[in-house]
Amino acid sequence: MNEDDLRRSLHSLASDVEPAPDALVTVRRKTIQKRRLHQGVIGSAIAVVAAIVVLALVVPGASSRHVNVVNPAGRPPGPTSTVPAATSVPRTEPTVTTVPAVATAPQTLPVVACMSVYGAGSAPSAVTFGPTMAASLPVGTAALLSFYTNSTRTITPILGPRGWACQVTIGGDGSTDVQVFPAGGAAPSGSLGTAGTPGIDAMSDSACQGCVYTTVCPFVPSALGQLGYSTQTGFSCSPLPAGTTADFVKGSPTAAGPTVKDIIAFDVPTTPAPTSGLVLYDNHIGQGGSGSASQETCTLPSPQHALCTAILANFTATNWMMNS
Amino acid sequence: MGMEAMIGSGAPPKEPASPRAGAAVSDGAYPTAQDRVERLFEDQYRQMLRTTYLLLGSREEAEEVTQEAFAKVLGSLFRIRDDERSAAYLRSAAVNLARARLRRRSIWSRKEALYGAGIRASDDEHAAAAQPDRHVETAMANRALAAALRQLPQRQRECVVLRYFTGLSEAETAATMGVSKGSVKTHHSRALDALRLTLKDLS
Repeated sequence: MNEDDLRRSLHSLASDVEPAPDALVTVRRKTIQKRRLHQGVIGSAIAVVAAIVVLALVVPGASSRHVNVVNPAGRPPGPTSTVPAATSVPRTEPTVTTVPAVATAPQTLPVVACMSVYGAGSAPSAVTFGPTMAASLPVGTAALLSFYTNSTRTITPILGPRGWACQVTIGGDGSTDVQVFPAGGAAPSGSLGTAGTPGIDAMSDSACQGCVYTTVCPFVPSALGQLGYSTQTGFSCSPLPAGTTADFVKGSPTAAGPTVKDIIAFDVPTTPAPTSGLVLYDNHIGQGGSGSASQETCTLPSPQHALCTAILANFTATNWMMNS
Repeated sequence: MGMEAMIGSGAPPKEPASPRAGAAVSDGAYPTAQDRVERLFEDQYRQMLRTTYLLLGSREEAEEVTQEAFAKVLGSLFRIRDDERSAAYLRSAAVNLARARLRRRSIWSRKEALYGAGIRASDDEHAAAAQPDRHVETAMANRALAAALRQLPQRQRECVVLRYFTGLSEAETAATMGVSKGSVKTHHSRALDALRLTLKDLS
């Protein structure tokens, strides 16, 4: 007997150890859990730091509050708080964002299929989007952009800088997260509090009404009631990062009706790269349906930040991952 | 069977245990990334499961540790451009997680759970008596080897498993264990000596 025998014996010893039938599904589930935990930890840490910074600014000069936090509801900044009842939210007239006229032209862009994790355990099978896709884009930007979708090409692609890395997470409840980020860099978390790291992050909440509320509540304080929740519900709403400005391109913070469609544009003055974003919010409660929301953030260094305009415009144009 | 004679002194030859390399990447992103995930799982999971089983001696814990390692690697796969590095990262993650798992439990106090597969393979096979002697002999050899592995210190066991089961070179073993090549040589040599002694006692 020699080393080959030892080798053979080790293989023989482990030869009947086989993977569990649900191993791949379990791995996928754990991957999603790990990512969410990671994002939650980072988000919490940044929220704590932000709260400390805000306190440091506010406490020494309580009489002269210069904290530049603006949100559509005019609520002051503060730690995570319970959203008040819809009726108590001060109304703010919608602001129409003026979009400068930019010459656009139809362009054909590559559609990149990203590494994807499927919480339901299996990938959607229907192939929808081919290797290229047309879009109307500002002249001169086509060569700088690509579309990004999931591995089976079933998710409406989002625009992002060409040549970047990407990943897609599709939760068991249908929620979707497409992240595009510099190759070798970290994926954006999508949390507004962590803005500043270059990346594009598009998220949709689909069936998870609590998630819809979390996405829209900083902009639409009355969302709790709109989504059919009791105002006594213990949901909390994280405030917008300091300095955030938001405008209702369509709709208003308090508009209600059979079908409310809000488009909210916001900017976060983060460094080193500023963040621009959009929230799409449909409220179908009046029609017996459920609400849905999507959010895209675009964080690019100032020289490239103009691309965010095209990226976010496409997000709105495709009404990304919304039910209607 | 003369188990004591099975241990040699030379370095084990490199076995082609690594996965296919050179994943297709186009447009600077990952159009085949999902394929890579599936392929990494297909190529590596069983091997990694068996490796962690040999390190931990418990089928259930091996499954948990292997799944954890895969989840860890899948979370970072977008940053790893070639399958060779993915496999190396996976090995390191699995070994580190197995090590952490061993730290959390007293492995020697749970001998009845250790190497259950090997023990069951022999105990459950009542027909073994009716089988050719070779079958029984293999089962007994497995039990002896399992017992000998159990008695090795953790690092020496890692060294033996990674070199002789996974088929890693000295450098790859060092990288996976996070130690120098010199340490691998030392662990390797001591492990073989210890195995030789133990198997001699057991035979």
